[in-house]
Amino acid sequence: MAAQAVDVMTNALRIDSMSKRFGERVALAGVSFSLRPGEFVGLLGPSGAGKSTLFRCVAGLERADSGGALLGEQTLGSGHGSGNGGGRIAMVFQQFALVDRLSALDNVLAGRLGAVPAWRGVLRRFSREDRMFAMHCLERVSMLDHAEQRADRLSGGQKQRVAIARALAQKPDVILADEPIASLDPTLAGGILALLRSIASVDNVAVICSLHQLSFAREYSDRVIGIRAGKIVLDCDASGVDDEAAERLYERVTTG
Amino acid sequence: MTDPARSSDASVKALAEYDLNRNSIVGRTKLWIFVLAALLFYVVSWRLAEVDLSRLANGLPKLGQWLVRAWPPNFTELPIFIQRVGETVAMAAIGTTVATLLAIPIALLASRNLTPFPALYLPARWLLNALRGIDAFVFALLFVASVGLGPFAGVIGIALHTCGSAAKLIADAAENAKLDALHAIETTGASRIVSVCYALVPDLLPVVLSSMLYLFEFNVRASTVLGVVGAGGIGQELKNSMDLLDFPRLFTIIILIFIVVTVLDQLSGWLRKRLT
Repeated sequence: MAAQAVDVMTNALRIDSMSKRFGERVALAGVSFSLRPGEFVGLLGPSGAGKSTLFRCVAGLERADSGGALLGEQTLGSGHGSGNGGGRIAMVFQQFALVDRLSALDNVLAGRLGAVPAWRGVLRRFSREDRMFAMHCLERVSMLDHAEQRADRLSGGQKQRVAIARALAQKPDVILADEPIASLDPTLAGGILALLRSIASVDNVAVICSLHQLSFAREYSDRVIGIRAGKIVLDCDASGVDDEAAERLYERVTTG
Repeated sequence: MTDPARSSDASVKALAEYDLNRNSIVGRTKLWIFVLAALLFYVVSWRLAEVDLSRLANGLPKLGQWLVRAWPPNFTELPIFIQRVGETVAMAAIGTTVATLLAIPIALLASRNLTPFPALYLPARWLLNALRGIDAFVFALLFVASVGLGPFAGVIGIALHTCGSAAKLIADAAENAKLDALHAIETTGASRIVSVCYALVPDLLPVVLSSMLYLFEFNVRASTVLGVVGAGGIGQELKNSMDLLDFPRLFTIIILIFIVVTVLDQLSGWLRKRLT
């Protein structure tokens, strides 16, 4: 891999000792890692370990208490909405988060909102170039035939493909996928992960994807990060994750 | 990075097709027909309602003069006002409570999933719509004529109208209630009535009480004007003052109504919050 000569400049995203607490409960306790362009990273950890909080803080949906994020060479602001580097960080959600009453194409065009004047968003009038690009994004997720369908008429797998097309339409440097397959049956799940993986390598985007199944993480990731009680406890090549490491990651916390 | 210029022929074709279907002549015509119909509707309504802004411009100064003459408020008749406000609140309280009690059996008939007599479902719903469709004011007008002047006519008016609203609220809540617990309890061998009491009443009781409080708030406001048709309460004094052009008296009554309504709204809102 060309990115083997690791250097700060080659990182797509660097997180530096990010911490977040909700009242008494510590959700993130100084999390640091970096993602290289084109890398697909699986994020593992038991429920409540802080995976979603991490994503929400990086995407700017939540404000981290301390620590910073570096997108390429740009420091990300903190606070709602301002933290996602002008759309260069795209997010994919477990429950798809599409606008039900809009067509698939209009949902994908939402990915362009960060880059177009407000009036275009309000009136849903996009330039031909943006519309063409959105259609192309739909083609890349094999949803061209469903461009006109209202989002609520699509099946779960189709919805997630449209959501991925929306992320693509942002022309992102980083895609955060928060349990993108947890609402899908296993046969569809593999297709979604393969799609995200191919996007990572073809578009040279860093993809970090939280997962619950170790087998999927091993099969599709380049690297696996394990998080537990708000701390990173595992960070290695996907091939290096053995059952023992996984067991330690998911081991019951008996102190509680 | 993907380049828009590199888009495949398939995407180009798909976008053309999308635009064609979205902007079809039939679709556009439909939209314009709808816009024109809506416009026509508002023009006709504006005419029928005799909206005349110049009359408002001429009338506002008159209202201003009255307000000036209404100061200072006149509290000499306060005891009688308080008694009348008491009548108004009492009408609302008795009317709403009677309405809710009557509404419970009707609501049972009017909820598709609970009714013991499915044949009566639609008639029950029609009855509720009729009761809700006729305002308490109209009922009061009728009952003043039959049972005579005074708050009792107001109580009947409020009870009849509110019964329709309360039963609809309760029936809708019952139709949306989750029935799995009810079915589970029926499998224990309990009778239908016992099962409903055991499984549904705990869920529905807060809804019933909360709608009763909500309707009470609404009825206090509505019954301030029932006196205008002779059905007792503070509305009677309100009308007398207006007839005599006694603006300080009118102003005092309006202040009093405002205070009582606000206090009761707050109180009932606080109680409803505690219920959920």
